[in-house]
Amino acid sequence: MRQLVRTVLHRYVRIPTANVLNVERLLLNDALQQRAIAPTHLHTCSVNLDSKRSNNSGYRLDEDEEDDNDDAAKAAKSALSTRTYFDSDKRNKETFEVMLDIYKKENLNRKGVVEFIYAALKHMDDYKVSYDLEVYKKLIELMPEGKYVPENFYSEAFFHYPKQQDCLITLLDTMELKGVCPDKEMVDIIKKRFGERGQPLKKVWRQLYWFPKFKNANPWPVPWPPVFDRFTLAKLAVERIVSVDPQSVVSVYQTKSVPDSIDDTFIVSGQSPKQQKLLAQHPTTKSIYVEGSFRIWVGRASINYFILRADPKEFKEELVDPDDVSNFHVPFLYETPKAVIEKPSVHEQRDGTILAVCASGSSSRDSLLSWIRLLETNGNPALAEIPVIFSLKAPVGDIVAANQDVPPHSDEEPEKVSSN
Amino acid sequence: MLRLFSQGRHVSSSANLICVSQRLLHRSSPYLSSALEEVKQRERSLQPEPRRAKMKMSPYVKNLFRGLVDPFVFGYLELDQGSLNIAEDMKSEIHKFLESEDLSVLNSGGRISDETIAKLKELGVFKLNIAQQYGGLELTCAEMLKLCEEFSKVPSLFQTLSTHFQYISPLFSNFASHEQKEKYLPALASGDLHIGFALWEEGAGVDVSSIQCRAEFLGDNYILSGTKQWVCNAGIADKYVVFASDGDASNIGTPNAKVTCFIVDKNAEGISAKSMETLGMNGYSAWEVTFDKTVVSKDNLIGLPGEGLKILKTLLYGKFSLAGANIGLLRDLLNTTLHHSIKKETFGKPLVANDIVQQHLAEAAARLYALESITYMTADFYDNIEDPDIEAEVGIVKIYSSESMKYIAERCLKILGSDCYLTNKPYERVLRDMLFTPLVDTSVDTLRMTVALLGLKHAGSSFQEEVLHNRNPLLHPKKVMRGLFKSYVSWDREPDIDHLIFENVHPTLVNSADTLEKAIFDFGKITEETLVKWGAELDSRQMNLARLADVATNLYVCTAVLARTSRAISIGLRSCDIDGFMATSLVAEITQSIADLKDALQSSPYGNNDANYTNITKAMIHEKKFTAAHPLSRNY
Repeated sequence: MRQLVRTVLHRYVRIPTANVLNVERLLLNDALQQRAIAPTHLHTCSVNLDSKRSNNSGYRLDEDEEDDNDDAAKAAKSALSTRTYFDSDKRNKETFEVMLDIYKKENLNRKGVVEFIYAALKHMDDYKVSYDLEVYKKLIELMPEGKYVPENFYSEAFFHYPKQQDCLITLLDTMELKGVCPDKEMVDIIKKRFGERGQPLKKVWRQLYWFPKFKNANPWPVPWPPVFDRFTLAKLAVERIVSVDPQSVVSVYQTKSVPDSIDDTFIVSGQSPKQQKLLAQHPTTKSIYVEGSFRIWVGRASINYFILRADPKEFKEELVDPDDVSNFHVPFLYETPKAVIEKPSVHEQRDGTILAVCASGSSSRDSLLSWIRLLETNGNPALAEIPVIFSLKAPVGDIVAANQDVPPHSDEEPEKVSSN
Repeated sequence: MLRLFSQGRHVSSSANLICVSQRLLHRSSPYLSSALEEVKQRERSLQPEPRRAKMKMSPYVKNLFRGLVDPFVFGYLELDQGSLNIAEDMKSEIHKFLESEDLSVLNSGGRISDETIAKLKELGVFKLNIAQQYGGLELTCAEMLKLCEEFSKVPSLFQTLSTHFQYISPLFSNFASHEQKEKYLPALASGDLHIGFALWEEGAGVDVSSIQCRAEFLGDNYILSGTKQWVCNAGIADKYVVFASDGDASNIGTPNAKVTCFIVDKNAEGISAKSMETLGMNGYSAWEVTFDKTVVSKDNLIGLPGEGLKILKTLLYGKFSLAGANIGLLRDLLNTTLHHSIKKETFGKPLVANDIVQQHLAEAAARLYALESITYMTADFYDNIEDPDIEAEVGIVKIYSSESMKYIAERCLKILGSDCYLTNKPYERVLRDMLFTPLVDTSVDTLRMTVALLGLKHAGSSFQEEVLHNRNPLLHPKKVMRGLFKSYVSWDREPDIDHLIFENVHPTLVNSADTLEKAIFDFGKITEETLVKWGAELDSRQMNLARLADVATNLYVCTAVLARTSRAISIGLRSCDIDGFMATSLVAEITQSIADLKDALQSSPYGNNDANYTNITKAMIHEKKFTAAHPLSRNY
C-alpha cells in the first residue's frame, strides 16, 4: 500500500516547468508588494529556472545569484530546504504568514507540503505564533482540498495518504501541547481535506470535546494567550498566594519611591488586615525574617516570591468537650468566651507566621529592603522597631519558561540581579 | 435549542442582497453614523452567521398545565461567535459611555439633560430594535437584553430608554400604517424624535379599559380631553402617543370599551403638562399631561379606531416587554454586597465568615441565576420560534423579575445593614428604585391571573371530558368507578415517568431532571383536580389561580435553570460546578414550594386559610376598619 502511495506521489510531484515558475515568481512579487515588505527582508528563495534538478531541489539557501555557478555549493544546498523560508530577520506573525503565502504561490500543486508544515511547526516558537489558532488554520489550509479524501471503503480503511495524515496529527498534537483549543471552523477545514472518517478529524473532534472541559479547571485563571510579562505574572502570582485570605490587599510599589534604593523596579506586595494586626502585635524584641526565594508557577512561567515570616506561635491545645451542651456562648451579648486563646488565623501556621508576601521585578536584596521600607510606611509602623533578618538563598534568577516556548531573548532587556 | 436541534440554515440570497443595498443606502444618509452602528460594521475575522430559519414549537408553559413536557427546550440558547462578539463590543461601548458620563445628577433628582440625550443619539441607542429598513440595527431580543443589562445599572436612564424599547418602537413597527412608519421610524431610530407614552390615568392603572380621557369625532378631526398620568419620557418628548376612549361612554371600563391610539404634537393647542414628584426613579421624567379640547386630525391615528385595547394587550402583556429585567443592576448590587461582606468585620471575624451571611448571599446568587436563565430562555423563544405563543412565558418573566428584584435586594440590604439607609451611600437609591417596578409597571397579581387563565384556557379543552364526568358522577357511573379503581390501585405508587428531561440534560443533573419531570406530571394532575373541584367557577377563585400561576412559574424557572446548567456543564464554562449547585438547590427549593402549593390547592378553601382570610376581610369590610379590639380593652 505504502509503495503504491509512494509511486503515486512520485508521479504527481514533478518539477514544475519554467513557464509555471515564471508565473509563480510574478505572483510572489505581487504577494510581497501587497504585504508591503521589502523582499530583502525575507531572505526568501529564488528559484533556479534553468537547471533540472531532483525532486527535492528547487530552492537555494541564499539570495545571492552568483552562487549559481559554484557547483559544489549547489550540491551542498540542493536538498529540499525549507529552512530558507524561516530564516527571516524579522520574526513575527506577519513575516510567518508571508512565508506561508509565498509557499502557496510558489507551489501551486503543493509540492513538499508535509515537509513544509513540519518545518513551520519547528519555527513557530521563534516567530511567536505558537499560541495562535489562526496560524495553525493557515498551515492546515496549505494542504489541498479534496485530494486526500478517500473515495472508497478500502482507502478509508487503510489510512489514506498516511504521511499527510500523520503530519496533521502531529500539528494537532503541537496545538495540544501549547494548549490551543480548536474551533468549529478548524473542524470544517480538516473535514474538507481528509473526509468524514480521517484520523485528523477524529482527533480534532476529541480535542474539541475535551479541551473546553479542562479550559476553566484552574481556579486562578491565567491570561490567554500566555503572557511572559514579568509584572503581570508577579501580580497574578501574588494574588493567587494571598487568596487564602479573602480580605488581603495586593499593592504595587515602585522602589524609586524609597530613598537610597539602588534598584529601579516594581514590587507587588500582598498583605491582609489580619497580617497587619499580627505584625503590630509582634514583640519588638523578637526578630522576623525575609525568606525566599520560593518559586510559583503561573501558567507557563514561574515567578520568584518572598515572604515575611515570624517564628511560629506556641499552639496550646485547648480541650473543648464536643458533648457539653449545657453552656452555650452568645457572642452577640458580649459574653466572655469559653476559650482562653483565640482561634489561630490561616496565617499562623505551625512552621511560622506569615506576615506578608511579595514578588519584585529584580528579586534582588535591595528591592526586598525597599519592600520592608514600603511596608513600614504603608500600614505597618511596627516594622521600624522589629529587627528584620534577611535570610535569603542565592537568587535563582528571573522567570523561567516552562519549556522552550519562549525565545530566550524576550522583548525586554533582562534586569541585572544585584549581588549586594 | 439551536445548538442541538438545528436543521441547518437557509437564507434566500435575494433577501441578503436587499439587506446589503439598504444598508449602503442608509450609510449614505447623514444621520446614520452612530458608534454602535460602526461597531456592527467593523471588520472582523469572524462574521456573524446569517439568522437561522425559525422553528416551530408548541407553547411550553401552557402545555405544563396539561402535564406535558417538551424536551426540545433543554438545548439552551446559544449565539454564534460572530454575533456574540458584536454584542460584546456594543456592550463595552455602552459601558464606556456610562463610565464617561456623569449620571449622578439622575440619582439626586435631576432630569436627563439634553447633552446626555444628544450623546445617546450619537451612540445610536435609539435604533437598537428598529428594523434595518428604517435605519435601525434590528437586534434580536437576546442581543437587546445583553445591552439592556448595561443600561439597567442606571435605573432612571434605563426606564427612559425602555419606554422607547418596550412601547414606542414596537408600537410603530407593528401597528402603524406604512406612511407613518416611513415618517416616524427613521426619526425615532436616529433619536431626533422622542415620543412620550400617555396611557395611564388616575383611575386606570391596571385596568386600561377604564380610561376616562375622551376623544370625540367631529368632522375630520378628533377632539381630546382628559388628564394622563405617568406619561413616560414627557420631559424629553416632541410628541405623545395618547390612548383615549371614543364611542359610547357607558362602555368605559368594560371589554367593549373603544380605545383609540393617537399621535399628538407636544405643542398642540390645549396641552398643559407638569412633572410628577416621585419617591425614586428621579431621573425618569414621569409627567402629568392635561388635554383640553386638543384637536387631532384623523391621519394621526395609529391602527384603526377602537383598536387600542388590542394594541395595548400586545404591548403590555405581549412579547416586547422582556427588556424590563434588571439583571445588570442586580448583578452589580450582589457584587458590591459581597465585597462589603468580605471587608466588614463584626465580632472579630469578617461578615462573610458567618454562615447565615453565606446563606443570604447564596440565595441571592441562585435567584439571580434563575432570573438570568428564564429571561434569556424566553428571549430565545422570541427570536427563534416561528410565530411564538409566549404570552405566558413573558408574563412569568415579568412576575419573576419584579419579585426577584425584591428578593435579592432584601437579602443584599440585610447584609449591608444600616449603610443602605444613608443618603450618601449608593444603596439608598437602589432601595427607592426597586419599589418602582412592582408598583408602577403592570401589577404582579394581574399578571399572575393572566398566566393562570391563559394556561387553563389551553388545558381546559383537553381536560373537558374528565371534568364533565367527575363533576357529574351519577350521569357517568362507569367512567367514575373506573377512575376510582385506577386511583385505588395506584395510590401509593410513584408516577411512571419517561425520563424525557434526563435524556436531554447533562447526566449529573439526573436527580433534578427526574424531580422536575415528576413535578410537571403532577402539575397536570393538579390542574385537572382543581378544574374538577371548581369547574368554571375557578376563574373567580383568584387565590387558587395565583397558586396555579406560581406552580407554573416555578416549573418554568426550573426548566430554564436546568437547561442553562446542562449547557454550562456540557461545554465546561467557568465554575459550571457551582452552576450545578445553584440548579440543584433551586430545583429542591422549588419542588418543596410546589408541594406546599399543591397541598393548598387541594385543601382550599376550608382545609387551609382561604376561608379564614375571606371571613376576616368580610368582617373588616362590614366594620370598615380593623376589627380587633385593643389588647388592653375590657369587656365588663
